[in-house]
Amino acid sequence: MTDHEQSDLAPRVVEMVERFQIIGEHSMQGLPVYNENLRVEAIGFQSYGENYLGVLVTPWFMNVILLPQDKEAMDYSLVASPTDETLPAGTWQFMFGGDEEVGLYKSLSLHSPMFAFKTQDLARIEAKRRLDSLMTPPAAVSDELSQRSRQQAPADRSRRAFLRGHVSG
Amino acid sequence: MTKAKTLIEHLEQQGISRRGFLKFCALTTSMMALPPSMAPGVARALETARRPSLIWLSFQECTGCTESLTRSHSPTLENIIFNYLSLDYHHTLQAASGEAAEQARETAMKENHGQYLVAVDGSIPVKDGGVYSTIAGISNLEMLQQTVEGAAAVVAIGTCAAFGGLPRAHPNPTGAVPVQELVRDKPVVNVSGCPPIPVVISGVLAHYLTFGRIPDLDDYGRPLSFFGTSIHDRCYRRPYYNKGLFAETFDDEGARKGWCLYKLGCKGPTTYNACATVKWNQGTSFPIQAGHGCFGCSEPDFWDAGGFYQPLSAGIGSVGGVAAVAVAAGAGAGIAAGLAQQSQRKHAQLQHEKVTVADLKESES
Repeated sequence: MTDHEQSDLAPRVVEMVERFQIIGEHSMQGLPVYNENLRVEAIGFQSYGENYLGVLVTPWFMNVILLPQDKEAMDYSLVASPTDETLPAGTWQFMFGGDEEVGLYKSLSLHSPMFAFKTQDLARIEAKRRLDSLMTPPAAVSDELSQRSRQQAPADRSRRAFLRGHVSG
Repeated sequence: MTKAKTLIEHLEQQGISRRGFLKFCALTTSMMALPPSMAPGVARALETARRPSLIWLSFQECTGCTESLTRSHSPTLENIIFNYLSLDYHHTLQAASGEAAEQARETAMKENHGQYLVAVDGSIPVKDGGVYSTIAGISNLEMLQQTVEGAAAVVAIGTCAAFGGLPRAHPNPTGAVPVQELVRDKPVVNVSGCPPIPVVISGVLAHYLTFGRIPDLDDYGRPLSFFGTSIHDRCYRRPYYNKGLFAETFDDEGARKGWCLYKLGCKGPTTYNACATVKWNQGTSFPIQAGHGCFGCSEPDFWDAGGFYQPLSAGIGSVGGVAAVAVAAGAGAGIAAGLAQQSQRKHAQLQHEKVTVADLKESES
């Protein structure tokens, strides 16, 4: 990568970026879903538990990626199966993916195809915005009904209390 | 008439216990893609709600939408929905026929003026004075106008009612138009799909029942909770697309290994619906899981949008663009994700225009 922003990336993230560059050149370039104005770039990758968490922009998708800091052995039986991952903003259903080179990782799709993005800058802005919103705990839900729920939140939230009809506190 | 009764009174009369009622509320809450913590609020809202009258009009349609609805999940959640509603007119499901049937519609309209819901399946032919489809001697156009006049809201069920569907496909011999082109002064919800997913139909009705208003909609007037993400974004084959692995024919190695069906004409990337998450036949499967690409049946003009087996061409992906994409993942996640984009969507709905990346950039600075 020539971009200076990419130079301080963890080697694991660089490895993944290089892998997707190869996929782009070999399998995706020339397909109608490939946006020639974009390139593979890792945005906002940071340590998150035992993973690196960030957004991967490519000419054919924009995904949130949870990449294990230590390469995990590839398990093909897991590919395409869902996994619930909790981020500050909520719980999201990621999907297992991976290959021999990068090992197992988890991804959550934000965009695909990428024709809404005329330039790499626009994709980068969107990636940062979405990452920020995923890493921010949900603000007060503005919906009237939920406000009522919150104000009258029952002291006893047990299942039994709920089933017995003690729902309004 | 039971219209004066509250829902819970009606259910008690039918021997449904309070426990059953609360279970229903929990199901309703998750069906509307709301967080479970809102179930008590939903229960309170439904306790005092009255059963609204529902008038279901069938125009240029194939009854597939009704077929879909009647094949909804056990434990007959949708039947409970119908207990919650007063279905006063529906060609296929009502007991009355002939003049008695039409009288039921008129009575329901009179008694619930300004309060009732209208569901429409099928498109409306307007060419040559609307002669191409009539019911009881009344043209579809006239019946729609008559019935909608006193309605609180209109739900266009199926792609024909939402976007015109097959009857509107080229060369559109009957001049078929969707509901939203004829109804401008009432809220219209589009529940597209050919047919729509049953739970999506009942989810919209449940939302109206609970909140007394229609749910948040996307640019095409579809409820965001179900149409907020593309099939492609939630497809279990997506990891193969990410890696550039595609089935090239329906019986090659890639097809057997479950690789992406994009090259075989799958319209998942441009189709917004809940098939990949809610699935069909009690959550059993959906077309892509059965080995066939998505047709894109819930999108406008899908019949005329190119061959079912032609790969999507460049640029098509920008149709939904940023505006139609939400991060929504699990049931609980929908709300938080929706909020982030809500203000922009609200603006878009008001202006009847799409939110573009340029808009986003503007709002960033």
